[in-house]
Amino acid sequence: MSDLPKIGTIMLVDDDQVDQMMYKRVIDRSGLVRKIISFQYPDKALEFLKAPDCGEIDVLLLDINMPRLNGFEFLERAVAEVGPAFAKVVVVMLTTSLDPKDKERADSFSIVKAFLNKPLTAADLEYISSLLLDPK
Amino acid sequence: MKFTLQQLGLVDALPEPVYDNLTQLASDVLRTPVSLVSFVDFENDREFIKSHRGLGEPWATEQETPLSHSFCQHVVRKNAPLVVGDAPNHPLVKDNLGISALGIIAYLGVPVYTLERLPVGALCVIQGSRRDWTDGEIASLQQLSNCVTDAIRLNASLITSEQLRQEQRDFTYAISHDLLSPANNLFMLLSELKEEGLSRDGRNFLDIGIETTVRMKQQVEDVLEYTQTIGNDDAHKTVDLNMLFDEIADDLKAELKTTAVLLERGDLPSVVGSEVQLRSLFRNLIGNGIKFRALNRSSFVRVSSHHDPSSQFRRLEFEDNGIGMAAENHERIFRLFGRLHVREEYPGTGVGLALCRRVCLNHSGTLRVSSEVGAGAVFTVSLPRRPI
Repeated sequence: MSDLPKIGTIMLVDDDQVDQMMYKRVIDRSGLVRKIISFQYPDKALEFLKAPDCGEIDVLLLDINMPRLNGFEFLERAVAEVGPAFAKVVVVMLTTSLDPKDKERADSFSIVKAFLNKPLTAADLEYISSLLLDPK
Repeated sequence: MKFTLQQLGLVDALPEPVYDNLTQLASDVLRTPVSLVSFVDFENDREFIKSHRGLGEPWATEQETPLSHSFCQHVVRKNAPLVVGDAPNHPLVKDNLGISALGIIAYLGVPVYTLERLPVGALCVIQGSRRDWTDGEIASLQQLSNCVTDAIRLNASLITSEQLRQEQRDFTYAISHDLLSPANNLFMLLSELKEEGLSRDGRNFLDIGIETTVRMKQQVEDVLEYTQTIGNDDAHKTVDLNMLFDEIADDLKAELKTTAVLLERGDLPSVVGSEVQLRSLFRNLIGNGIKFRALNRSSFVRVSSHHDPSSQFRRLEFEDNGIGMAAENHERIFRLFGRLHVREEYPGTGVGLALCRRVCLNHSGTLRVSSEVGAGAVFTVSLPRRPI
């Protein structure tokens, strides 16, 4: 594990507080991540990303079913409004959705590098960190 | 899905206008005394006559002939038109008993098909004297038979979608139902666990676990209610909305007191509809008005009726002075599971307004919202004055 690069900053966008709490525990335990920024509202996350001083985000864990904006609407707006900085982010959809259409829709975004089902596991995190080594 | 002729109502079934109109048209266009839409039932050695014009007795009443009398069977067997100008001298049918029994001399029949493009019957025209059928006449009958085929296929699609709908409802019901009992079990187990000595963290997790199972129960119950409302065929009767409102207001007494929301109603009409569904509609719309109240002012929820004699619809307005919502979210709130807030701010499953809209649709009406952030909301229910 030590030869895997650590993830600098991970951004969580998920409206479910319990899920967020569990992610943070899994992430902390893994020791793979330096910093976590989390949002329960996708529109607030978007605002944050659009601010010039938001800093570099390495990985975005994105839920689909959320209030106000769903995960896909969030991606569409982020790609259009945030600009080139967003294109470098490794986006991972993290969802309970079992609908193959959601997976298909996720695949249609070049920025989405993985589609994972909840709950997040330590193995998922290692996989995500390996994506950083060799982004598609 | 594959259907038998029985399931499609094409044999052993009463006449239907769509086929009767087409036989009528066929004999008008081709100027023959007799025309039939019939289906060939090889297994039972018979031709069933679904629709006819000008057919004599006893065939008209019996609606079938044995295959020994059937010209149409050849149309189905060959999957091609059968053109007979003079039956007694036609090699294929010269011995057919239909000639003597039904008086068939000239016959023109073209195949009709099922959804799977299998020939199952024929549209035919018949007369008791010789006739040279022209290409134009064959083409006309061909076009009419396409309409017969379309009617059969449309009917098959309707039956299919009705079956699927029923299946889906049963399935959703079964699934949701089966999800409730594990949620209940979990709730009980976790509640028991709480009695054991646990660390602070452990107790905290347990509380979250219990809360989650409660929510799961709620979610499943809401979905269950929604699926039961979709395409619901509850008995409709006259419902006095004043009484409905008063009952709900009574149920909400405690909540209105703790939230200090003033619930008012104007004079409401009686409407014809499903009482269960209308109660759901009122409960959800009033409940939302209370839930989304603004905390910085005294809140009200007002239900009133607006009568415009020139309109075919009667309008019911559910008005509140709560937090409201931005225009961009006006459609989202009606989507199934569509929500504008995280659970910690406003609990809910995102089912309520989808359900309300469904109730309005079931009553041939509409549900709309007009609202701005911070400026309250008005939900308008429009129901047809005369029930459909």
